[in-house]
Amino acid sequence: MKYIKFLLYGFTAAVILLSASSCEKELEPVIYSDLTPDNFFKTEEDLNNAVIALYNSFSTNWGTSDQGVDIWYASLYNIDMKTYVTRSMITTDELYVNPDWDANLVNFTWGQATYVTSGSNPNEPTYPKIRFVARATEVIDMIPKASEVAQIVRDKYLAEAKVLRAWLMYCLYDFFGPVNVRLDPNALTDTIITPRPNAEEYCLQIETDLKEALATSTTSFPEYYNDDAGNWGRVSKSTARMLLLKLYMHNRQWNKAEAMAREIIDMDYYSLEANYEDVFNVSKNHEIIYALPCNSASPNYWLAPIFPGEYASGYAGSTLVDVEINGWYGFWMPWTFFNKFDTADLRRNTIIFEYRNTANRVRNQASSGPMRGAIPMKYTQVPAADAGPKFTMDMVVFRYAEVLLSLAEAINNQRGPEEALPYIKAVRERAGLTAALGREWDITAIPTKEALKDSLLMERGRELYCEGARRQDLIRNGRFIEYALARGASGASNADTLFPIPASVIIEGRGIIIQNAGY
Amino acid sequence: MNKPLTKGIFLICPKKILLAMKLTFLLILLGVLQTYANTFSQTAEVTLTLKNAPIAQVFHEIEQQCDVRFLYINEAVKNKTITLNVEKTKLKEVLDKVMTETEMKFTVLENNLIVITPNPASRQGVKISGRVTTAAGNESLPGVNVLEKGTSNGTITDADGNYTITVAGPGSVLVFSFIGYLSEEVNVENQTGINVTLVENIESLQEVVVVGYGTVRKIDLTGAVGSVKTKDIPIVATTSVDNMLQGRIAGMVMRLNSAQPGGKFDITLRGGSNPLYVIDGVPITNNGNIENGLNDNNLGYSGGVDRDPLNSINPSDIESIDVLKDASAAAIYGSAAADGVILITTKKGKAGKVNVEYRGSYTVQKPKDYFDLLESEEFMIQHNRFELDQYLLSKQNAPYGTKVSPAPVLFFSQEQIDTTSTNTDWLDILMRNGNIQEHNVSVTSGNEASTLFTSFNYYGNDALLENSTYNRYSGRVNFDQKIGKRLKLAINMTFSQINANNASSGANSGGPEKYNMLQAAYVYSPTVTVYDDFGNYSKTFDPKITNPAAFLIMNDYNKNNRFFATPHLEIEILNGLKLHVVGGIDKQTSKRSFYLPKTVLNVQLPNGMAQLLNNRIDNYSTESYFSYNRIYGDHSINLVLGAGYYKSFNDGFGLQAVDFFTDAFSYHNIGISSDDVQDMMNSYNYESTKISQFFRVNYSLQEKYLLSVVGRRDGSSIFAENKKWGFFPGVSAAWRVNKENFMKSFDAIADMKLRLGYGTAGNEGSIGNNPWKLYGTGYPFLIGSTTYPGVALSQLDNPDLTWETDVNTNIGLDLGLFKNRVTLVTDYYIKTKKNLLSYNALPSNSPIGRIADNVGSQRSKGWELTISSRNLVGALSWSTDFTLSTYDLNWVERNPQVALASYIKEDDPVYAVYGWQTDGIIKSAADTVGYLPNMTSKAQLGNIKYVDVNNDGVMDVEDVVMLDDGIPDWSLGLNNIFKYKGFDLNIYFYGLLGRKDYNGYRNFLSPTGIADGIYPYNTITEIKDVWSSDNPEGIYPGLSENSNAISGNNQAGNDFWLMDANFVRLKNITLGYSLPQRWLSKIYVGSVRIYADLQNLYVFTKYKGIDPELSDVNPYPQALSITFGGSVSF
Repeated sequence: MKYIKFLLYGFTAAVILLSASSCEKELEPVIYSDLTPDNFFKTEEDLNNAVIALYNSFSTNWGTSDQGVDIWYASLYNIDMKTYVTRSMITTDELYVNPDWDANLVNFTWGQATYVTSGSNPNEPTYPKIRFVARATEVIDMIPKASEVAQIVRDKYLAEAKVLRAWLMYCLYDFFGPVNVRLDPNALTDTIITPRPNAEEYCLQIETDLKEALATSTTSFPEYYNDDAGNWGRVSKSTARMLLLKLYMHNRQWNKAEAMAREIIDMDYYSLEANYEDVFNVSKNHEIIYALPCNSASPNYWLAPIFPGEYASGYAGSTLVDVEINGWYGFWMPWTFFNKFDTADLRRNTIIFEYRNTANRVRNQASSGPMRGAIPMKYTQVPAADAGPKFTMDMVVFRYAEVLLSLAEAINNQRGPEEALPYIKAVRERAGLTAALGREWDITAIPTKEALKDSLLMERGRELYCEGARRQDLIRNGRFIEYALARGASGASNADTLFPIPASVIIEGRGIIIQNAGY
Repeated sequence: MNKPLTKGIFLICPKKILLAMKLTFLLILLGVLQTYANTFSQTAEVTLTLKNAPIAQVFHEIEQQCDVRFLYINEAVKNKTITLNVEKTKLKEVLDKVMTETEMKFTVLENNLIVITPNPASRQGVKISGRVTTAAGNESLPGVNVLEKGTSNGTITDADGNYTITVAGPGSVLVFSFIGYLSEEVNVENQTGINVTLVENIESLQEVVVVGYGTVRKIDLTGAVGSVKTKDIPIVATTSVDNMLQGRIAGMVMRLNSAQPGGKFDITLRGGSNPLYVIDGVPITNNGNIENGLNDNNLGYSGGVDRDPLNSINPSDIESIDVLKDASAAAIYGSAAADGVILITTKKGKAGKVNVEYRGSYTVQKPKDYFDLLESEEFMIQHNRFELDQYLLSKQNAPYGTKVSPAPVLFFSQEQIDTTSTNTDWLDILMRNGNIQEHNVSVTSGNEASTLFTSFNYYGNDALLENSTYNRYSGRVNFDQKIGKRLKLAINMTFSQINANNASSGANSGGPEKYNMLQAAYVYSPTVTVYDDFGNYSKTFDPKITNPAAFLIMNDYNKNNRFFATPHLEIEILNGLKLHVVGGIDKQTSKRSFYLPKTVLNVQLPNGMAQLLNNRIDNYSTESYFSYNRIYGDHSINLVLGAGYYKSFNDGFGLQAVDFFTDAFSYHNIGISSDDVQDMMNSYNYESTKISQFFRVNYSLQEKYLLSVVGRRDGSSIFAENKKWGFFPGVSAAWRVNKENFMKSFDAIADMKLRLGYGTAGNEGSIGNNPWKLYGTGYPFLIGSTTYPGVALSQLDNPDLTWETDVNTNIGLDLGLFKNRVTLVTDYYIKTKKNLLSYNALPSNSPIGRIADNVGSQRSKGWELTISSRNLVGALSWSTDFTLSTYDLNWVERNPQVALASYIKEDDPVYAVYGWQTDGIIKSAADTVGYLPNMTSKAQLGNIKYVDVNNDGVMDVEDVVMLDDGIPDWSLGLNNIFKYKGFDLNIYFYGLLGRKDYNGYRNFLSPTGIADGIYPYNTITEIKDVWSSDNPEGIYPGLSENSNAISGNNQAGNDFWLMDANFVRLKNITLGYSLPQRWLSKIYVGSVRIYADLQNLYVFTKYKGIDPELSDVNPYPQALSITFGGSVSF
């Protein structure tokens, strides 16, 4: 009957149409599966999802097709060799990448033209995150206007959005130096090209965002989420403090860094886990300041690229690892780095240096059955239900040990070793390293400031290996290029402490956007 | 008053209907003459008062009063008048009186048709009689017009094809003509009995062509229209009408996309790839594929259903297909017609005897030229060869370097190679001989008031891959009913159901863990058995790959339904003025059910996975239009004016469930799945509304000068705010040169027409949802254990965004030569696509990267030729149809915001392929000199040798050239039909020439897979031709192929793997035999035909790879099909 009615209706309509055509109402667009300005930013869920989209950049999952450009980009914390976190490792001495995967990264022969942001799988996914800064600016502008949502709720999401904008800006700063982010909500879609700001101006904005978030009432924006399973994964005041600490460290603002580290310690909430392995195996433990939650739908892929495909079984310390990883063997820890771990170092128990393959042959550092390098496993207790290449352990991003070591570094740089030593000692003791056992470290004698700098850098390397801090550490200590040249990266030069602004951005900038020096 | 349609034949109808319909009607009428009983109304009475009236008027008046029709020769009655005064007199009496006074006689044929002929007794001269029959079947032809040339003297053959005529003398010439047949002229000389056989005119210019909202005679066409009658095409073992069109329409390039049952064709009509389909007058607003692809997130492949959307229409039900190629004709379909319009008309019932036809066939399908994989021993030998070479390369031993290393231990020992006994042919496990069964029953019946065509069709295909089956059930009822004198109702309805099991083929989205069935079979080691010692599916060396045989236990089932109905009401308001109301109801649903059992041992989904996907497409339309036909003396006018209202809906949902504790439920109870994290669901809903007004004016002066003006105004809900309405006009004119007096002396030219057209049409599909400002999900993040969807601004609005507009100029020439035994249609066109949808980039720091805009244009120029020739007529007849077309497609204006690489010219071909030229591979150290000198990595033996085009000693972007224009230069079709007595033979070729293609073939020839020292992958036997140190004559690049050197310096690729993909396919050979009528009539059978058909017998090509037409990475195997079938009609 419906169709008969439809036909009659249509017939009548069509006949009328012959004489008149005033039917604009019929032609109103009907949009069911997208949100429009008319129906978004109305409820708490809307605000949450607008902020979630900002978190999306940091995911451990492969990446996201960015609908604003229709290009797929890898996420910042995915283990793809192109990402922010992976490039922070594979450009350093702690992790090598298979030259077949990307010879330019191995040889430091990248240039502005080789890293592109367009195409179906662009090899520069970090710079395009600058769009998320603009999106954060829109969200920060829109949240206070959502008058139907309670103030306390708006404050929560506003604080999160500010922390996320600051974090995105820090990542860009880390890789590219200050870039021309959009901070004016009224000029978001302007076609005018703005120049890059200077570093002070840029960092002040990061600081301001974080400090404003910290000024939010704790009811709206809690200190931490370790005890709140439902909100685990959200940034908190602790995350904001950690980002400030990292920014100050980055800029060698030692006094500010020291103050911020002490502020975290004075929270009296965080502590070192008794057992190093537990930091990575026990979710939400009190050493973790921020971790990216993972499950089988948003997995942690860390183990997949570091295990050889032929791997059958091996030991991480005394833990038998015989789960099916189905690895790709793209990254490995060079033996030169592995050998810097003392045999007594408990942290070494999270690294596999010998295994049996599917043909039951033994592979190790010895020349008879060579392994390219060690397997920096880190997460030793792989959940029983997980089968590779996806895993469900949360990916640890910021943790207390880094706060302690950063504090030690800040103190040493201001006032020398003595006051700094207890913080380092705490970290080493947890690793089972007591006096006289360390190789570059003799706890009984107080080293010079310079010697401590070097050994602290190595200690950070061992403690924070494969957590994405190595590149910053080396650059901050002026060793990044030196180490690269030492391992044969032929193209390394001082310019490489920053990556080039992609060519497309320089071209689009028409002289207004200045390339980093040396490219 | 009616006018003669063609010189000689004149027909008066009781109602003034379309010229074209008269023709159709006449054909129908004559078609049934032989069989129908005489029902001449003896009792009918007439009342007439006429004074000195032309007798044609008498006949007209009688037709108004009685249910009779008159058939006579115009010249014969032209000057005769009569005075008559009768009241309630028997018709026979009246006719007798009229005949006597005008020296004529009448004969009553079936169906109350009265033939008026001159009374031969009343004439002086030579009396000649004889019989007219068909050349093909030697059947009598009634109603043939027999005329003494140069006079008004003529007659018409009777029901048995006999005639008698008295001519002036031996010098007279008799002309025999009949619609649909070639005219014959015979010199009388001294004969008194002249029997004539007439040859059917296959490509008759008298044919009627559907042009949207009506029809025109082919001779009156002014635009570029291609036309195919299905009676000329063997419908054998095919699911879709698209399959039958390949190569039949000049300018329409069709490439088979997949050889799976019901596989889709890529259609390119004059460079556009999205033609509008109109079925029985109803435009199909959304002609998308109803079948959903599988969600490939976890599975890794989308399951390869790539079917033609017209599968649901039974090809046997189709009467004709007409293609409006240029905008001067297509503009009547406005914003949807830029890429042409394909009009499909289904069969109608016929008045007359009930005709029942059964057609059935059985087809055997054999796999044809598929990949030839290495067997166990060869596999091991080849692996060791490449593993050794890999070792020599990596250690830089000779010949790659000068170092010396100890001999390596290779993966396979000599003992293993010598003693191998297992040799599993994985492709053989997946492939089988297929078969197709088809049964088609159609019933045609009708009388004066109503006609009916019904059909039922079953098509079943067990295809070449084991788990690939296809079953279609379809039915149709086409019913036409006259209600009173001025009302006609027609309803065409069809229903079809397709049940299909899908093979796990199709595009794949990841590494080896995501390989589909065919990919797994290519690389699985022949040295492993199907099952291991525990009875589980065995694993090849790389445990991530799913066992090929395990794919066969997966369930992947599709069920599609389509209901399509087109009610059509026609009201004659005044003489010649009609109102048509046409409805369109098109409802399609599809459900796909998929289950991957635990026992498959899929690495990603070890505990099973199910998917349920539903999709619905509904198109509703209603159109009303007035049509008006009128002839005023030399002027003939035909008007159409109407409006339409269209709605299109598409909605559906998909579910994925992961982890099952049992396989027992398959996909029937997916709620029991236990991994709620990987479970997925989605749904969608789209709706659009369109309102249109359209018109057409056809004007013809003396049937010599023709003019057609069409236009359409479209408004749509998908159009942007400031562009809600668009107007698309088209104008075309034609000049029938042969009608001019000066052409009379050119005997060879029977018909000649020049056509000129100009028009615009729109491509609304290009707009998409780009006009609106949108926030979209798709930025998910996990908080706690909840994944929130994440919403961000996804699009900025552009209220001025508009459709792409095609501006089209067409010049055409139609020629009929040698009494139309050879007809030739040729067209040249220039088509400019304007307002191309493009994206303007916003600065890279804005929240949105682009905004849609209309920028740039492309132009295609092309030439098309169609020749139909009756090479032989008579007992052995041979006819040939040939189509040939070529086109190019170039940029005219590009988006200035999109930077072009230095090697791309502003006006290059749209689909141009760029890259380095190559010159074989490096086989000796001498060859490596000068190769890539600027690269850090040195050229190695076995590398591709690139050509330094500018001789600057550097291989870089300066050396990139255009390698191909990306489209075929020539598309052709060649059909030959031979007939002898009851035998008919149809041979059909189809081809694409001047074409190059990259294809997946190169992946098989990369030695890295088989060389892998841990996970050796199997590959094809041609791997033996890959260069290695112990195969210095190898022709394919070896292990050291320096891929980074290529991509680092040249994003464009090279021509090493760009192959000539020219081909001509012998697509069909059909041999049929129709049993003689004289045998059949004894057993009360109308006709019987048996036939055998070979499909896809041979491909003429130099292409390496399995089939130049299928360029997939893992193509569905092509079949060689042999069909035996027959048809019987009662």
